[in-house]
Amino acid sequence: MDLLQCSQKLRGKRKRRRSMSLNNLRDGLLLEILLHLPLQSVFQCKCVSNRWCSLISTPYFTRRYVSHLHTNLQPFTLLFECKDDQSITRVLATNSEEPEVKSLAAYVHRQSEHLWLEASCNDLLLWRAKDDGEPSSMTVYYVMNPITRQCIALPPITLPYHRSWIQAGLICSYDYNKKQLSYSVVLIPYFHDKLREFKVFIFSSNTREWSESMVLCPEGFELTHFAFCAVPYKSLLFWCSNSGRLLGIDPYNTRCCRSFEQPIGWELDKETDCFGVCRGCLRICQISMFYTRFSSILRIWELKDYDNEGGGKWYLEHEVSVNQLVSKKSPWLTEHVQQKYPLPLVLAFHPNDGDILYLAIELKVLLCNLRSKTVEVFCDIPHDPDTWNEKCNIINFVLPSWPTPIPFAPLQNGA
Amino acid sequence: MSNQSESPNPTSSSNKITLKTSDNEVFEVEEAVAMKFCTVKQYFDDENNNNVTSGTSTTLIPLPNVESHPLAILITYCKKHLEIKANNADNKKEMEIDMEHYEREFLKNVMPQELTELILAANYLNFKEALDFFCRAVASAIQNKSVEYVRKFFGLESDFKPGEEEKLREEFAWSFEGVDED
Repeated sequence: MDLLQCSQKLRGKRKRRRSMSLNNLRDGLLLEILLHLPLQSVFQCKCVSNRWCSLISTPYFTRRYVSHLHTNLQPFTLLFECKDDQSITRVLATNSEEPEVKSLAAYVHRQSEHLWLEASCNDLLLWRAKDDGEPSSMTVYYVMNPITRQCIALPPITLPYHRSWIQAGLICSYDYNKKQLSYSVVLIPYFHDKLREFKVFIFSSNTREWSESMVLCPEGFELTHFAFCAVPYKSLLFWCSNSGRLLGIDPYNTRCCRSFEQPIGWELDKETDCFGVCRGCLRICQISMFYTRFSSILRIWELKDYDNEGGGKWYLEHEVSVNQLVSKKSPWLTEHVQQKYPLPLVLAFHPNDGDILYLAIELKVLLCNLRSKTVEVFCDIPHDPDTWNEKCNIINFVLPSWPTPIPFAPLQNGA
Repeated sequence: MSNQSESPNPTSSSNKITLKTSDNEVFEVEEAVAMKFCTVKQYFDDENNNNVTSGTSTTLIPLPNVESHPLAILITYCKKHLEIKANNADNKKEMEIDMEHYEREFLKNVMPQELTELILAANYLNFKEALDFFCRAVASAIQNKSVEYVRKFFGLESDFKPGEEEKLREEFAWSFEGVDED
């Protein structure tokens, strides 16, 4: 559509009428127009003039823009990094057609192989610079917003463990009125269940320093190698043990932890298959074999009635026999899940839709609807099948209705 | 009154309301149409409350902030809006499709300068659907366009000091990827 040329042609014909440029609209009406733009265009419009820049930079604009979008349709992206000795494959599986996603995908793929994805919180990612160093060498972490390309390097830290024995978590909050980002990074070394307390390393944006704290360990809690990424939830960072127990750490007060036993009906000798947040509640998933029916059962529990006074109880949300799942589009997939004891890899919960689960089978991401009991191929995982070991790092990345700004200048090219 | 504004065929509604624009033109419109303009409706309701005996067919409402040109366009848009709504009273989806189709055709005959006065008029008349529609029209004309195009479209010049714009462009470099050509 080229309204501009058209109008210039017509300008002469309508001399009688005084024409008024759109620039005569006052701020309130200009705002009503800008609210309809996609995020990328809004940010570009900051470069139009001083007036536009200050209008778009107000907290009021951000609030209006965020509430203008349908938050329940918030697009999100699963980001995972499959690592083996030779290579890193980063995969983005997304439910969005937004233009940001394309440039996000390109940007994440461009990130150096010397960076490892460690954790996420909303739209921020935590990366770690990979080096082949000894336990005593320095480690650098980066907090990055892959949409705006803003990135900040945290001060280097020397850790007394080999880094593959450390798990990281990121938690952040942004105050739009004060335009202030607060974030914390928490590092926990893996440990077995005999510890009574353990040491954590915490970086806080308030102090801009790393500090060490002791955390009292709930009896029998262990955090072993292949546990899940830490999940930020209601100002705590939650870790899930392989046996389905949760430990929530407050980075600002490590004496103040929350722990939850595994749900009733949990199979103790089976591992946790997924841990995350859906519709504002923590969720946990376990697939167990059901020998008498030659099947495997997928169960999902949700932690309801959570509050800061100690409330929170597991409820069974879904119980589905994996070999009941049917694919309408791919007959091979139906066949695959209907074999004896099918064991798909559970990648993630959908952040807003409680019936949707993302699975992986045979280098394909699947979208599974637990209510309609259907499963369909969502996208391919472009990893070498010979080195695919299912030990990938899965990060939920929620595309924001407004990107979380990181203070300080953007970094030129990643890290 | 209220059942008339929901009348299935707005063109047949009997009561007329007279609107007088800032350039002294007089428009006689069906009540159902006029009632979509909340400012008019408010005036009309106040008048009726103050003077119960006054005949509605002779009401004349002055619109000192609206010229005849945008008002004529808004009346056409409003009539069609009501008509589409009435034709698809029990099918919301059909209504949306028809409306979308009509709006697309409608925009082909609207110039950017007209958009300014249309937005101002729709805003003054408090005609929400039209205001939203024209704002969306402007947004879709400038989305994914270059900053220079947006300035031209809005008829404004950059007022940044030397270097300021470059700095902003650097800061928001990500937002400049994949912009359409002018």
